[in-house]
Amino acid sequence: MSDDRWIEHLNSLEVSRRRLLAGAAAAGFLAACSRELRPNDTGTSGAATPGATPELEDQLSIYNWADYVHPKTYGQFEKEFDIKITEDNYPSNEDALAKLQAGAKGYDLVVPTGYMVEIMREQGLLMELDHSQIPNFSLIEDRFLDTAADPGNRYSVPKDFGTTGYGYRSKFVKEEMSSWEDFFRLAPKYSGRYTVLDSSPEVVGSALKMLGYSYNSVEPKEIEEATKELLKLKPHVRKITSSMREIMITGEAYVSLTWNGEIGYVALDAADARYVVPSEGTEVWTDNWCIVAGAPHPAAAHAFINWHLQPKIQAQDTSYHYYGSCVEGEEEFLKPAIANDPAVYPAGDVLEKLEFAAANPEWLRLRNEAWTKFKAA
Amino acid sequence: MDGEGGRADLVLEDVTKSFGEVRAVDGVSFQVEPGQFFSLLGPSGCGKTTTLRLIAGFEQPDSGRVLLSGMDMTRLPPNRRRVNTVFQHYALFPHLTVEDNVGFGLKQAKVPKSELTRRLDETLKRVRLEELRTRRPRELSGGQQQRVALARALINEPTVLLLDEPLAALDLKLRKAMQQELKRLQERVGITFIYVTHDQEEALTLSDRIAVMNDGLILQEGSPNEIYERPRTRFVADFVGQTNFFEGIVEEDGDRVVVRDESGLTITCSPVDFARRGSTVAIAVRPEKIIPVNGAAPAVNLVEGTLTRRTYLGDLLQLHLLLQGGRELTLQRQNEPDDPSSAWRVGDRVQVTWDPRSSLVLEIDQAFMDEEDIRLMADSQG
Amino acid sequence: MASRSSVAEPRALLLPAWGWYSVFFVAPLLIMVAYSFAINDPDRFFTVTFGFYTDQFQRVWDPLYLEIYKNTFLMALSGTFGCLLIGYPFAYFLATRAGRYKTFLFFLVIVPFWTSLLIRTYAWLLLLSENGPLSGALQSMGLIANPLNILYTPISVWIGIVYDYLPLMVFPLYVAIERMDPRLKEASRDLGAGRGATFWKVTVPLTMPGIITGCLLTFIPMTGEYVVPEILGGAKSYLVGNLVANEFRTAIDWPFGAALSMSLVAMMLVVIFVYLRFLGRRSEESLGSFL
Repeated sequence: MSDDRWIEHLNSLEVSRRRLLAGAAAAGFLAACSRELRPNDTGTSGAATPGATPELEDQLSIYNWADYVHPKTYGQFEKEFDIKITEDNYPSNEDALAKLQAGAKGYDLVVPTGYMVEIMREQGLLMELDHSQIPNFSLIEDRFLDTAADPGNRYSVPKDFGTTGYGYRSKFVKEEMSSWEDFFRLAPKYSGRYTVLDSSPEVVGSALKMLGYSYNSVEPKEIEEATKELLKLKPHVRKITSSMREIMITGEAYVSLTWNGEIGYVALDAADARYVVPSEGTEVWTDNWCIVAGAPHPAAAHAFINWHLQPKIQAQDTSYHYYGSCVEGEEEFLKPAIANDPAVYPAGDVLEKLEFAAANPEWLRLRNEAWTKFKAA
Repeated sequence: MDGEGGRADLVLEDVTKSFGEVRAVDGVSFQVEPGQFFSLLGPSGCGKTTTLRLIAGFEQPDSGRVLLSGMDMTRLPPNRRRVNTVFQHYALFPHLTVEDNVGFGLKQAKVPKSELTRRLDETLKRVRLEELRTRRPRELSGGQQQRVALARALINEPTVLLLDEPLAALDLKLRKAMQQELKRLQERVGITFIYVTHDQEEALTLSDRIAVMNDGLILQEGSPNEIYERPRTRFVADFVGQTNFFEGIVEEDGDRVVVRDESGLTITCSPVDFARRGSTVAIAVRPEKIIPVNGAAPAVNLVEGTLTRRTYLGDLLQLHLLLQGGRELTLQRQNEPDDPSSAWRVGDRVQVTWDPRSSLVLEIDQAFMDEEDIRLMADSQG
Repeated sequence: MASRSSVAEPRALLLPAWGWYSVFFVAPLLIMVAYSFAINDPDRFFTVTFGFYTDQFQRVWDPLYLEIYKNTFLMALSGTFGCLLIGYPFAYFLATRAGRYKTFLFFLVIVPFWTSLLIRTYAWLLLLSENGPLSGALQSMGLIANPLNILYTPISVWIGIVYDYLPLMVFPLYVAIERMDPRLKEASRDLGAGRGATFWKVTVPLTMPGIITGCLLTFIPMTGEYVVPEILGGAKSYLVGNLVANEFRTAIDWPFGAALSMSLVAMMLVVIFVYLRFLGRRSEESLGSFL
């Protein structure tokens, strides 16, 4: 049905991590044009040269969140390697998972969040990486590596990182907000002006952190307590959505539980928007390049991952989507306003309280059950 | 109360109704006395049904008035007029039982329950539907439906009952039976009936008075006898019963009118005041008024012709003669062995005659003449 | 032999339809039934064990979910009522008064189908927002003091579904009203009933097949509505359709999602059964002739 395709399309518009799809489409078009102009010169440029270079395919298919790279990025890669990139978008980790599980063929790269890397590799949906083809891997900061989700990074390379916190419009919210406790406490006062992400780990995790528990708690009692807090919050929530940008900008919503980059976008239009990394601590996550099992163009995929790790390219994307880069040395290519923005690069003391999500079947089941109750209430 | 209407139940005063360019009803006036069975007779599209709808209130006249018992009800909605209608094809409520159909009007009038039951029983009994009271219309025969339609209207004891071709959907035998039933019913309840039909025989059989309509006009109003025996126009003579027409110029007027037609035939008629010497008139002679010449030749209206065809109608015989000049003449005789015509064979030369009183001199009917002229013109060109 | 082929031929005509329905309707339904009796493997991600477990259906009985079923029914009921309230006069006008504008008005009813429902629902998002044209117009007319605050509430969902399903109400009503002999209304007036009494005693009962068909055609899909509450609804206008979508798409709990769906299907069957029983043979006939 055409409606379903529209749902997919609009959902990807909705839950883009950066701006609207139109930009990416235009970039793709330009890239396609420039490729015509510039004939083949296979191979090697950029910061580092892969070791044993297998023959590169001439195509690369990326399954990504919408607008999650700078509009110029793909074009630059295409020009340099004479590889044609096509991109498809998904609105949530779960959608990507469902599609891959259903046996979607033809994708080379996918960009799951950490906990989803774990799920996907468990399900055998990912291809083990050939690190010899990703020399730039060494540029990645250690703290983003070797997480519980993918010990040894055998399947994933961090693309960027972000935090799950909340944003608010200081024009409407008079209080200075700084913690999860503030977030929950002020809900009755600004009733009907709250939104939360349409995603269970983040929302359940926020309540766990407010209560002083681990973001990854699998204690049924703790989850139950968190659920109670969420059910108290529910009457004040206007919309459960991952696309809160518009209603935050128009002022229909004042406070949104979301990722830092989203508020970065809102702030472009509403300068009074503030992002809070809650003082109790919260989730830090990475989205990761992974190669899909059975990818038709594995060499091109490895080449792209390696190429994308260059600090300059990283900085270009960060200045576009307001999510921090995981590599060292990208600051020199960034405007200071971004490099010094604590919403993008949280300060050291805050960083220490952040947790990566650590998914397991029990973890997910407890969260989804709580989440279904929250939605239903 | 004794105004223009006098003791008439229903008066139409110069009522006109147009639909777009078409004048469906054109200056119609008539009065109906209480208890009369009044028929509007005419071909389809003549305006008789529109006239009925104007009385019922389903249509509003462009001009003119409709009075019921002396009261102007021209602008009253249908539900506030003391008239009821028996519709063509009955328009029974398919979702209601016989008794709910019949009781519909009384329920609307908020008649007390006990009275409703009493009148319902009485009416159903009168039309012999007691056994069928819980049936739905589609479970009834045509005749039964017809009786439900009658009962549904009559139970309300309207001042005037309007009937729109109520028997048209029935087969011949049932129709004849229902005609009698209808007439008896009307005499018994004494309600004024306005009866719309295109069936001249039905109108003649049932009516106290008949208004013959064509093109939105009433051409003639009178008793059945007057309409049949003294039609004033060619249209009326033609529409009501069968007729032989002659057309010619008046040669003599006064107490004996003689007309000569194109073929030279002279026809003697009883006197009429509008027949002036030299003017063109039409003459109608009913087939059953023409008799075979038996014995002495008559002094007037002696016509000779060749028998071309005998049509057997059961109780009657129709005989077609070809006259001099190509004119045809039809006569109708009782199918009796004694009748002289029973010996006639096709091809025989025979003589017939009729009484001068049976030569009906007609006013020239404008509409009809126009049509005739057009045909003549077309003929002369072809 | 001749008689055999004459019987076999019409049956052969049905083959493509049977094939289509068994592959694309019956089979998916059976798969859902199988899932609804399955359980999730507690130690592995998204792995289900098939069997005859009633665990999922026990979960459905949580008052929390029953509340959603209740809200869904109320929304579908009020939406159906809204469609009837707007659709009946419109269908009546179309069938009896529209004259030469009939074709044009029908065209206007059909035109929205040329655009995706999703696009049209997003248009409502803009229309109903606090800063939208409707809010502005009502404020400038002095009808409301503050910006219109109905978006992301059950009211906006109601508006959306009434808009969405109105044509499905109008068409059967139009057919029923058109089919009705206009002289029956005259007969009613003639027997002393005013306009109101005629409407309630004659027009409504006689167009009841159209009303029933229209109500079923709107009520049933409304109970499964997903897109409109997803876009126009807020946190408090969660319907069964959204719950099911959540289980399939977000929670990836197919067994529970399937059980929620099957419960809805079962309830719908009960509704239809009661409807037909209550309204008798006539409505069955009319449904048969329309569906």
